[in-house]
Order: sequence, then structure tokens, then C-alpha cells
Amino acid sequence: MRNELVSPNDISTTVRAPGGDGAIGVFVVDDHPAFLRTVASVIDATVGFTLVGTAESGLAALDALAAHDRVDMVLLDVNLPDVSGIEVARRLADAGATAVVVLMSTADPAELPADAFDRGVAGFLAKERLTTQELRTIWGAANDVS
Amino acid sequence: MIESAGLQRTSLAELRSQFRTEQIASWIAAAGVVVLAIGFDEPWGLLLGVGVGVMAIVRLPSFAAVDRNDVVAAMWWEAAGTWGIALVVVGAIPDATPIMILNLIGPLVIGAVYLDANQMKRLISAGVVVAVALGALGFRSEGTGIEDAIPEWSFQFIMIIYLAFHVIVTSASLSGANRVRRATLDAVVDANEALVEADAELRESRRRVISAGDRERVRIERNIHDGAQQRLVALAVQLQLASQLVRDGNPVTPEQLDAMHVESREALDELRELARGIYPSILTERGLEDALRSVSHRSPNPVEITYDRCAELSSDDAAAIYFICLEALQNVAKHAGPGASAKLTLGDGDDGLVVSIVDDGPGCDPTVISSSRGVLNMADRAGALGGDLTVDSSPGRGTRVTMVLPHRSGASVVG
Repeated sequence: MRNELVSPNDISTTVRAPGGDGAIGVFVVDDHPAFLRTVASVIDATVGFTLVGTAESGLAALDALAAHDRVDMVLLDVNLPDVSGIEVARRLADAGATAVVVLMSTADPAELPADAFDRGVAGFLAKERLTTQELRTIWGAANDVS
Repeated sequence: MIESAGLQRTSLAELRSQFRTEQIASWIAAAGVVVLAIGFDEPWGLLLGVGVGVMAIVRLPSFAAVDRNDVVAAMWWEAAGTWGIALVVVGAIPDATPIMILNLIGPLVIGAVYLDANQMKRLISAGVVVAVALGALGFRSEGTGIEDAIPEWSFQFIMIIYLAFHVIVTSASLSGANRVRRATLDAVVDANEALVEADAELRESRRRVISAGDRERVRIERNIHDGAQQRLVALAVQLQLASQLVRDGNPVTPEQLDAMHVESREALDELRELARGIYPSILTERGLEDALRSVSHRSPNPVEITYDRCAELSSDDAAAIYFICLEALQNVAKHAGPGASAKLTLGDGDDGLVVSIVDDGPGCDPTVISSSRGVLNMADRAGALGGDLTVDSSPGRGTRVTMVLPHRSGASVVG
């Protein structure tokens, strides 16, 4: 098991080569570098999951994901500096993306807009609850229902 | 606002002027009667002239009363002298009764302008009593026969002159009353305009204060959300991850623990910075001077502080000065550039406590500055405490922010 803390590049969007080992490729979109570093550590510590890229804004994420063919799951912060995570999820759905999109926030899901989960969103992750187990559970639940 | 002291001065000056006109009239009448009495060798006439003169002297204390703002006493002295003259004249010449009755009205006309309803009732009552006395005296007195001692035409001439003079004096009184009323009206209209203006400014200022409060809350929420909260969330996740690693038999590396320590320390730093932005604890714990020196140490530009002898400050005043200086120094950092330096001076001036922040930066267009949100915030803070804030700047001459805060009554001066 990998247990080192992974530090993605701080500011720019990063796109990693797929692991090639059949691992689930996770793309993380969050504008807080501290959380981005942490989520990278959790993914690295989760057997069967690999971090394939990160972005710090919604538009950068859309650009990166359009050019990426190895993304199975997108962890998407709701509050992004340009377009919201909810809007990014909708645009991904419109573009026919097949990745499982999971919204993340420190806010209570009840505080999110009523239509936040209408299109393109498979689940919600309370940021502070992120663990390797939670990652697997969300993936499992999203694939059961999708 | 109505300048009541100024209005009162105008009104009293008017009253004094009316008294003076009456007094001059009385002196002329007394002197005229004395001259005629000597000319016609009429002892009663001499006595009448002296009587009028004495009653004019009775009226003199009214001037002193005006000088000490005692309008009621002034009116009574005025009435006593005027009515005394009427009684003396009617006692000597009963034929003059109808004309002298007119003389009673003078003090009542003036009194109607300057006295309130109750005071006026007393004066009118006294006037009625004097009128009755005057009538009784006129009908019952046998007189001195002065009017018979002089040619009839000269008696009639004197009475006509008196009547004409009475019209002049009464008209002058009414005209004076009108001037006072107009001055009062003008003052009320001016005061109303000033109030409307102040009210509009107050509403605008209140709107800005509420808006600034809302913006501040949004800023604090954003800062907490983007700063400490994110770090604490990351820390919670990292701790959970470390716990799981240990449970799975993997060691937690020093680097991982260091990373968690860094997150917790940075979260603390951000919370501390945020708390200082909400209200600096140093201000309550160590006072304004230390709080300002602390701000100057954190400023990227060199700041020289002169904290001079000044009045003891309330916590509201200290907070307003602190946040105004903070805003001004942040503006120096933002607009004056890294090469600029600033001088912050705080001390007593003639009009109150004077705080100035002056920089030697490039300066800018003063119209741009005066409408900026930061400057409006500073002006609102100063205005809320009754102070004034001005910003002077022009290209190439730096910027000067000056606040004058009037001393509170009872504020003591400390060195």
C-alpha cells in the first residue's frame, strides 16, 4: 500500500498518465491546495484507485477532462472560483462524460441548491468524511445506481 | 439647526432699539414741555415736564434688563414708565385723556412679540387697570389749566405732534416685531434645510454602514471557509488517514505528522489573523498606542508614529481611530507603492483630537479618492463619533488623511 503524501502541483491543472493497472482513475477539482494535497494522499492510500489529475477551477477542469480519457471518477468541489461544481457537473453530462461525478463540500448537503443533484451528479461527499473506505463506498454506490 | 443664541441676540437688539426710540421720544417731550413752560412762564408746565422726565427715568432699568436677557422685567419697566407718563399727563391735562389712552397700547404691542401667553395676560390685566385709572383720572381731575395758559393752537399742535409720533413709534414696534418673526422664520427654514440635508447624509451613511457590515460578514465567512476551515478539514482527513494506516499496520511517517502540524499551525495563524481583523485584542489589552505600533510593524511600508499627549479616549473612539489608521495604512501599502513611507501623528489640536496619516507616495486624483469605498468607510467611522475626516492628495504630492475628533465633555487630558 502506498502511504506517502502526494503533492500535486500547487496551482496549475495536472494531468497524469493512467496507471495502466486497471485502477479507478480519480480526477480532483478543488481550489484549496491544502485539501487537494490531502485528497491526493487519501487516493494514493486507497487500493485500486489512482489520482489521474487535478484542477483548481471549474473551467480548467472542463478543459482537462475533455482531453482526458482515463477518468472514472471526478471529485468536484461545489464552491469553485469561476463556475460552480454543480455547473461543471451539468456541462460534463451535456458533453456525454461517463465518469462518476461526486460533489464535495464542507457545507451541509441541505444547504446546496435543490437542483444540485438533478443532472450529472452521482453522489455527495462531506469533505471532512473523506477516507479510503468512504471513497470506495461512494464508488460502489454510484456504480450500483448508475 | 436653529442658532437660537443668534436669533435671541437679533430679537433683543430689536427690543432695545424700540425702547430707545420711545425713550428719545419721552426725553424730547419732557424737554419740549419744559421749554414751553419757561416760554409761557407756566409753573405747572414746568412740573409736567419734570413729571414726564421722571417717568422716563423710571423706564431706564428696562435697558439693563434687556442686557441681562430678562425680557419680562424689561417689559414691565417699559410699561411702568410709559403708563406713568400717561398718568402724569392726564393728571395735569384731563383733555389729553383720549390720546393718552393710546399711550397704553405701546408696551402691549411690544409685549405681544416678546412675552408668552401667561406673561402677556398679566401685562394686559395691568394695562386694563391703568386704562380704568386713566379714565377715572381724566373724568374726575380738574387739571392744572395748563392748556388754558397757552394758546389753543399750540396745545392742539402738541397733541397732533404727539399723535403723529405715536403712529411712528407703534409702526416701528410692529415693523420690528415683523423683522423678528421673519428672522425666526428664516432661521427655521434654514434649520429645516440643514436638517433635511443632514438626514439624507445620515440615511446614506447608515446604508453604507449596514452595507459595510454585510460585506465584512461575507469577508469573514469567506476567510473562514477558504482558510482555517479548509485546513481543519484537511487535517481531519489526514488524521483519519493516519489512524487507518496505523490500524493497518503501517507506520505514520514524520513527514505526515509534520504536514498535519503545518496544517494545524496555519489554521491557527489564519484564525488569529481573522480575529485581529474583527477586533484586535491588543487594542483592549494594551491600548491604542501599542495597537497602532503593532499595525505599523506589520505594514510593508516604513511607518513613523508620533503619539503625542492627548485626551483619554473611550473604547469607541480608540476603535474608530485604530480602524481608520489601519485602513489608511493599508491604502498606503496598496496605492503608494513599496518605496513610500508614512507618518502617523496623533495629538491634541484646537478643535479636538487630530489624527493624520501622511505618505510620500505618488498621490492621485482627489476626486477618485473621495468616492472610494475605503475612504467612505473611514469618513463614516469618523462621522459616527461626531468627527470629520478629510483626504488631500494630488499627483506627485502624496496623500494626507486627517481626522479631527471633538473632545468629549469631561474628557481628561493625560500625558
